[in-house]
Amino acid sequence: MENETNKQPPPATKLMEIFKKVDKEYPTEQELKEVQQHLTENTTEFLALQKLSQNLISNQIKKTFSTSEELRDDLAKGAEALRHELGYKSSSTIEQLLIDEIILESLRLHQIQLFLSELTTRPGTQLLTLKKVSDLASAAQSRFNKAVQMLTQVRKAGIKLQINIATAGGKQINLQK
Amino acid sequence: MYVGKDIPSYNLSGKAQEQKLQNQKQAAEIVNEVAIDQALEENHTLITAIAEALLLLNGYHLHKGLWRKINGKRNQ
Repeated sequence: MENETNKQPPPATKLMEIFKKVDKEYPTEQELKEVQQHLTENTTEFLALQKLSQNLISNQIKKTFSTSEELRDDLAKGAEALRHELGYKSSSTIEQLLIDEIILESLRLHQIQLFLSELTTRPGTQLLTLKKVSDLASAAQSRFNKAVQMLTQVRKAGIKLQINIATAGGKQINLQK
Repeated sequence: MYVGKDIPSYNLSGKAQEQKLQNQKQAAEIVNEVAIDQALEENHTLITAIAEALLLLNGYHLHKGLWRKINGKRNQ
């Protein structure tokens, strides 16, 4: 898994580079145009990558989480209920990405907290190990909070993600959702 | 009592060996958890970067940790 995740896809790396340039109070029109162009040119790649990585990670968490099939089913149902509660179906694409991220981080938070409490009661556990796992739990909590904040902000701003789909004839269909 | 001239290094007492195995198992668990965390962090960075880029494109900017609408100054 480590090898798969360490390979950062080129569109994402480029986006991060461009984003660093515009991450200031008043970015210029030219800089914003560059972001817009990069996003619209690579949207389908971003979405495909995101869905793929989220499925991979979610499966990994479920695998780590428990060997019980019943518990895994319960988790899947819980995730589906949360997705429904957050209005997944009627949301825009960017909102759906953020909702998936919230679900993913909530699963991770749950799993890492259980692991931490199990370690606490396990005899012979070193204090340094507990500190390390506690830091991982804090990181998961912080990512969860950030994802919730971003979803709120994106919804407040009413932002839609533009998607370009290449057709067989080489034409681009532009969808706004 | 004679116990032989070479005492192998793995000749630990049962309890110490058990502890060693447990430490190894725990170290492997931590490595796995760190790898998951790294993957989640990369995933999170990418999603929030896309969302933040869209906010910037829609005339918002980050001010003291809050996203605010830019009030026309950008175009001047």
